[in-house]
Amino acid sequence: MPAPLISPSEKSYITQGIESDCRADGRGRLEYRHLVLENGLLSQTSGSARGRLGDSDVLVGIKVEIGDIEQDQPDQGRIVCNVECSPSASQQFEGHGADELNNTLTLALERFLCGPQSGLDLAKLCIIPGRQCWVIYVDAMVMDCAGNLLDCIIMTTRSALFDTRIPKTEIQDLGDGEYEFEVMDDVEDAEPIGNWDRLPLAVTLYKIGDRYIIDPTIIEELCSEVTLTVGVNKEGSICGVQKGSNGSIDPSLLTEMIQTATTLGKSLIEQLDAKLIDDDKAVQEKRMRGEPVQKLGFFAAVF
Amino acid sequence: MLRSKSFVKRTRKGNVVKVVKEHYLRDDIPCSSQACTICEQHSPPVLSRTPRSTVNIKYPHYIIPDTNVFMNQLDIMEHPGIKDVIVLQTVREEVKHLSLPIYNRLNAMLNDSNKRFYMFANEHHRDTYLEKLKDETPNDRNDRAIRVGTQWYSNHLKSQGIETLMLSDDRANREKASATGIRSSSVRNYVEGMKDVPELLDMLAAPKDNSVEKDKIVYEEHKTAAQIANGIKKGSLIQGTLNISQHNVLEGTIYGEMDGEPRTIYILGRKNMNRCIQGDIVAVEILPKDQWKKNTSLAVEDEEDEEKMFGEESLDVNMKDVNGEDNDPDQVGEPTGKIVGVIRKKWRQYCGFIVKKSVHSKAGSTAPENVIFRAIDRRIPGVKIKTTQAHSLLGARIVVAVDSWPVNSVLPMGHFVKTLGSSGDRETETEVLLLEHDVPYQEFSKRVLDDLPIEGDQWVVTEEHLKNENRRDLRHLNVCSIDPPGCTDIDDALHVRPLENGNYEIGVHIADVTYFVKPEQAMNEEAANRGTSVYLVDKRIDMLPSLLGTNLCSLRSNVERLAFSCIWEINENAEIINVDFAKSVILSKHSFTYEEAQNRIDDERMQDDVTKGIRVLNSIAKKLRQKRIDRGALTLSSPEVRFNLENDSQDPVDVEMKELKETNALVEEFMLLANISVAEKIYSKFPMSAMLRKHSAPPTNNFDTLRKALSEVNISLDVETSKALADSLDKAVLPNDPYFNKLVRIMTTRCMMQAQYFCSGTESEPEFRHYGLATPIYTHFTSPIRRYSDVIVHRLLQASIDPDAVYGQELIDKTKMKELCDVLNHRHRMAQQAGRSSVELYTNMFFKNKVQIEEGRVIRVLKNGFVVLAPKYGIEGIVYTSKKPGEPSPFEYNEEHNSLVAGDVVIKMFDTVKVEICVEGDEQGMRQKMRMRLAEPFVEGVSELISLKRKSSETQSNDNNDLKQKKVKN
Repeated sequence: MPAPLISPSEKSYITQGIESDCRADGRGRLEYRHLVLENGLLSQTSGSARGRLGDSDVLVGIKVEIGDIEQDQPDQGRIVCNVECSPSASQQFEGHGADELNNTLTLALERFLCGPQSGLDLAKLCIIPGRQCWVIYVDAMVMDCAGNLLDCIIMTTRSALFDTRIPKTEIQDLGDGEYEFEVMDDVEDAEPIGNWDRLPLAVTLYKIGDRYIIDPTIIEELCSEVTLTVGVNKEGSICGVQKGSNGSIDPSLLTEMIQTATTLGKSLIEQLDAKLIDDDKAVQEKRMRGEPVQKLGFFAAVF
Repeated sequence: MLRSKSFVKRTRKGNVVKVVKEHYLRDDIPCSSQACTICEQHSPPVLSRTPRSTVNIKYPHYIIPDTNVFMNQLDIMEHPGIKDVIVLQTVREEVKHLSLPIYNRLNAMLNDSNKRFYMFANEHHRDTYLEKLKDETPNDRNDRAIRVGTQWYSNHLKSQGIETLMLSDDRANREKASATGIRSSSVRNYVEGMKDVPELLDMLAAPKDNSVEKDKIVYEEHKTAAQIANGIKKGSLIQGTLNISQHNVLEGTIYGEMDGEPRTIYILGRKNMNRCIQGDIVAVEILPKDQWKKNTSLAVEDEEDEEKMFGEESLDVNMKDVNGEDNDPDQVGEPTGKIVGVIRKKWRQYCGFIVKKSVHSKAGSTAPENVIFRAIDRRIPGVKIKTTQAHSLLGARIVVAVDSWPVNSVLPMGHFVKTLGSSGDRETETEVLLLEHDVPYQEFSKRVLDDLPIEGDQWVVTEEHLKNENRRDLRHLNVCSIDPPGCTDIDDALHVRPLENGNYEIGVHIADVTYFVKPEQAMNEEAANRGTSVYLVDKRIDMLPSLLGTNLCSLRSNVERLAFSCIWEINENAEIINVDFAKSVILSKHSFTYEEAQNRIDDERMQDDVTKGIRVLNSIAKKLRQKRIDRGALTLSSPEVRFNLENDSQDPVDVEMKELKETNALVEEFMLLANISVAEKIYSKFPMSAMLRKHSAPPTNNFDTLRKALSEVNISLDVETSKALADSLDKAVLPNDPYFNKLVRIMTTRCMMQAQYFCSGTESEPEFRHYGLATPIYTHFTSPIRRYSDVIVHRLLQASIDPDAVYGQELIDKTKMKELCDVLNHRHRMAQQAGRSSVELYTNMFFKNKVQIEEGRVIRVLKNGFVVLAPKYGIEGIVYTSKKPGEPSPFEYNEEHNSLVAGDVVIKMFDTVKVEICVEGDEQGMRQKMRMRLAEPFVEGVSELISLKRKSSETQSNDNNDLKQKKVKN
């Protein structure tokens, strides 16, 4: 990531390009960059995914642990999020340089996942009501940062949660209202997270000039006055809206933007889900035939 | 090729961790068949070129059993008839997870080159490795791996004309196998085809579910492991080892903590024992107080109880019998519970016989039938087994393994393992008692014998030993040994020498076994496992190979031997001035028997140095003994007998009590002294890991019955300290009854705790006390040839005295030392019991076909009988007060005086009675039992003496039949 500096002429070049629906890299206003998504590359985690949107690179690891239940929600499990920007992504992230960005992104991710808007079946994560539950730790690591980070993180997280398997538990009644449970040691005999497919995706629209674009590069991000992040699930319902930056949005434009985001998000989810399920099937089939499953891992790149 | 394997593990803190392991596949794992021309064999191939074929499988084949075959039918797999078996790695690992003992037995088979078992690493073979599929259980995956392994072998060896057969009792698995063209067979079907070894069919384990009685639930289900663990944690359940009474197989006890204090808890009746077998570690729930045991222990005969078990009578009947109706509601009774779960099963293989009554088929029949097996150990319930050779097994001692005990079966299910020989045969019976007491009695293996010195019996002490090992040369001393006649393993020798200052130098020299037995040797391992030599009436099971025990280590006279010496400077008053320990070389001048030594002391004409020495030793020993007694050492007694055996047949021709001479005490005294000195020394150097021996003070309530009985004859027994007990034992004398004191001592001995080995780091110092010897610290040092504890103590002592000594972890690891102590305690106890059983066996043989009337003493009063000790033979037995249990008896039990009353005849503790002793077999003569009948005082209905019957039958043989019938009617 280059330093966040932009000259007035650069800015006007980009703004005018967007005005005429032709961006610096040749995309139209509502076009995504190339996306690479791969699941299950960290075998030690309960679920993992790596997403590369253009040059933005995010690695998400999910770890499920047994934890104490929150007393205000005695029959639900919990999700804990953490986003960290690696110093390898930018020189500015060294030391405490990334703290503010980390906080912003963590908070945004948390708003997305923790709560009924995430669509996840949190009640299924409860093991013994009032006592113990599964806690899902989502750790996102930003490896490279080339714009549209939040969308990329959420997309990768969604994919990692699809990949996550929670070990089965068997509850034993000890009598006298006391329970103990046993964890099945077989990794394959584990369950996916309930209602993972109801998880929303984020579509962030960046307003530049009078127009708005999706999936900006760093330079484009610097030109935008205001951003609007919309959470959309597979039914096209809006699960959350968040405005960012200092600028303002006209109410009529706002409605239009939300409408655009919903349409974009819905079709993106459809395509992504189909791909994820296909991919998983291919892996299972390979294993059935006894062939080794090889991951692209960190060799994956955009060509 | 790299794959990864992962599994989820729960940490101690309760969290889960996913563990991922790298897994490498290879292409060079051989099939190990001698017929194979493809594989590159890394080691000589194991599997035969010409494996066997059977009636059912007509082509030569190898066998690939699945996991359950090893789990359930291990005895068949161990049979020498089963050879050329491929054990898949998958199977071996599954077995390891399921049962460690079976895993060890499986490994033993793999190591046995005669068995031709080969472990094929299918999990690491490129062509047989399988990844677990989604929605596939681990079991399904492993079954699939076994099928794939079998298929690989079939294809691999097809051109050699050798087939591979999968052995599995799982029908679904076999069906899947045949669908893919893999040959398979059930174990039953397979062994049926082996016509040359028909006994294999009997060794089949009983199938798990017995559909015949499916609806008849006899026992309660056990609680789950988690429920038990929680119950014990909370104190609602009590954990303990089930110990069933020898006198009454329906009465068991556990010793556990109840309401914070250790108590004995009774378990009455089979229903409450809930399918647990003697020795199981169980969880017990206390019953409500109104169901507690309230009456005196009954003696129940097993024959009777057997009847009940065959019949359909409900188990509750037994309960009522045991817990009679005449309960006094005010009485609190003893805590009583029921077993709700098993924590650890201690099932093993049992020796016994087939109950004749349970065999219903005609003689010569070979159809399989269900019969009942009874173990020699009465406490083991009958076992249902299926056999085709019932008739040929009648009258034989057989070994049976218990497979399962389902809730709907009154008796456990088992299977035949092997025949030992015919019952009553001395060799067979001796083997039975060794097996029953878990005594390792096999010959020493070659690996062990290889550790002996290569010179064999030509081995001699050389100058090297003195020069290089820092040994003291004590060959000039007048060392001699005193042992029982015929003793060949001489552990100890003594010497004494007057010093210039008027004191004496006294040395105890112990055979230096640790010179030959080094920690890392196979011989050491074997000795540690054996723990002790076992002494039976007619033979000795050695702990060490006899080359060491009776030759190289044995301190025989006129041969130079290595020794470990403990040398004191002792003054006239038997006070120790100084003590010194050293490895040495000695030359014993004479091996005395106790009697010879005694004669030397007594014969005043003998004035040579050796004799003088013995006299000095004797006088000092007496002083030492007096001091020990002043400190409170107990002189206890137990009746010990010796058999005079006929030379050829080894049949006992006479029994005599072991006699003790003064010289026995002499040797004993110095051995005690050496043990104490050594214990102090090793404890000072190894405070955390010294092997010591303790003898806890018995709880005072152990003496309750005895004290009550003694108070009837106005004798009080003070049991507060060992000194008080010793003093009151001395006073327990009846003027007109010379044997009375000995009797009291015998009974006191039975109230004592067992002495035990322990590791000094696991107990606090006050616990070290040896109660019986009245010494604060004690160990075993003086018999390393026959006890392994002494070997360890020798190593510890060597490390304590020699600053340059190199020793391994085994001497300082507290946990290892504790484990070793547990093994030694177990072996020690078993060896003692085996010895006693051997004496019993010979006593029975002695009384066979004899009927003898002897004087005996009553030592315990029961509700329906009393226990009599016949001092002449040191035997004891129950005299029942009725003809058969349950029948009315002329005697009534008087609770207050603990006596039995019939008219003017009163039987109480210590009474002298005359009993008729004979040995009776049960109907089939399978279980020899000593029988005692009351001869004097004569009580009608109880004193049904055989000798009287015989006399009467001689005189009035004509009326005999009538008479018998009448008696039965009465």
